Formats: sequence, structure tokens, C-alpha cells
Amino acid sequence: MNGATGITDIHAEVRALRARVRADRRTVSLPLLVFGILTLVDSALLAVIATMPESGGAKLTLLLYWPVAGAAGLIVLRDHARRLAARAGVGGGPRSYEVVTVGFVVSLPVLALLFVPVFFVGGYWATLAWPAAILTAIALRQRGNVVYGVAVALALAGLVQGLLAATPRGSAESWTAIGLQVAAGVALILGGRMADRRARAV
Amino acid sequence: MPGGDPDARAPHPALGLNEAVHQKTRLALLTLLDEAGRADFAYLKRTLDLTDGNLGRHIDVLTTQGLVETAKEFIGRRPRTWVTITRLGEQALAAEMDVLAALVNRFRTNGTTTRDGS
Repeated sequence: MNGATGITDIHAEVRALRARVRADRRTVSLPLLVFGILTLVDSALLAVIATMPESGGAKLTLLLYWPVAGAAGLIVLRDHARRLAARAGVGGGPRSYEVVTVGFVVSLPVLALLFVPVFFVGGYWATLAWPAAILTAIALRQRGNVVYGVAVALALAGLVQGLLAATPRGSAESWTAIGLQVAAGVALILGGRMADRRARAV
Repeated sequence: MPGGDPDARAPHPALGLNEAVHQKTRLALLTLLDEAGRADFAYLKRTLDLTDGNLGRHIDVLTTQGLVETAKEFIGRRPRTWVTITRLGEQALAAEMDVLAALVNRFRTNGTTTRDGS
């Protein structure tokens, strides 16, 4: 090794190779698209329920949404990764979605118990914390810096959303919280599509 | 010169390079497997543009060092060989990248990666 140029070339090749594998596996685009769609569906539910008279059923629907949707989203990702591994011969092993999916489903009873106080206190807020937590788990498992960055941004948006949503139902702030969630969902989908386009260019 | 360049007394970062990992094709193989977790022979061959024999030899070296593991499965009558990176392989790759980063730092500080400054 005569200088830094050779090493810099190695670093560039390593980065390019990693980008190619990520593109083949769609490890950035697919989680963003799946959780973007789920976030938008949740926003629509929040908006519909905000216009209805308060009822236990509506509150239960909102509380159950992310546990169920989160599991469904992870199962979609896991099945996609399995099909891809069978077809293209890449994926699985230590970077599979298996552990995150099983971990999430197994922890659902504990999460349900954590919800019990929410029934008595009332309200629902910071729903963006759900996709943020799930994307963080995926990013840590797959060592995905982009997905991790998105998850942190979502968590911060969830924090703001929580402050806004902990206001009287139907207030301007609570609608802003729903608007913030719509914006986050759209941003996830656009980010996913952009990652897909970049991946095809690799 | 007393109190001279401390880098001159420290072991050269290049001494930390692991020969099994540092070879270009094996470094690429480990990088790919670190990102993918697992890949089959056909994907590795296609992506790294290697022949069967070449890939097999490099996989053998990495397997002997405990850096990757191979497993064979059959889809119908067709065998498929999966290669998975081990924890040791992940650590070895991370250590290699650290050494390369240290070499770049040394170059940026001293203007050379060699001890004698050539």
C-alpha cells in the first residue's frame, strides 16, 4: 500500500458493493414504503374517528391499529425477503427480518398490558412512535444507516405529535398532529420511491 | 529526536491487517456477506464476477478461518450452497476497516503510510 489513494479506492469499492447489495435486497425502499402506507392508513383512521362522537370502539380501534399493522408490515417484509432469497439467492441469515418480526409478535402481550392505563387516562398520541420503533429495530438488525436516520426523524416527529395531540379532541392542535402524521407517511413513501429509483441506477 | 512523532514509535497500523481478510476478493466477499447476511454461490459469482473455482478457493480460506459458514440445500434435485457470515467474520471485517481508516489517518497526518516516510 503506497498511499491513501489505494485505501480510499477500497473504501469506495466497499461502499459501492454495499449499495448494490442493499439495492438487490430493497432494504431501504421496502420498509419505508410499507410503513409509509401503514402510517397514511392510520392517519385516515385518526381523521375519521376525530369527526365521530367519542366511543370506546373507536378508541380501541386506534389502540389496536399499530400492534396489528406493525406485525402485518413486518410479515410483509419478511415474506418479501424470503421470496427474494429463494429467487435471487441473497438475504436471510443474520440480517433477516425473522428476529424483529418474531420479537415484535412475542412482545405484543406486554405492549397490550402497557396500553391498559391509556384506556383509563384516555386519548391516544404519538402514534408515529410505533413506526419509529419498528424501523429502529429493523435498522439495528440490518445495520441500515438510512433507515435508522429515518426512524430517528420519525421519533422526533412523534414527540412533536405527542405534544400536539395531548390537547382537547377536535382542537386545531390535534388536527395539526394528524396533519403531521400525514406528512410523515407521504415523506416515507416518497423516500421509499426515491430509494427504489436510486437502487435501479446502481 | 526525543519527544518526536509518537506515530513513529507506535506499531504501524498495517501490522493489524488480517491477511485472510485483506485479500481483495475475500474483502469483497466479506463485505457483501456482511451487508446481505447470507447469499448463495450463484449470487456471489454473479455479483463479484468470479469463476466457480476462484470463488470456491476464497470461500475455503474464509471457512477455514471461521469467518463464514456454508450450508447446502436441495431445491428438487438442484443443490444450492448458501454462505453466511459468522460473528467472527463480522468482527474481522470491522477490524480490517478500522485498520484501513487508521492508515488513511496516518497518511493525512504524516503524508505517508510507511514508517520511513517513503
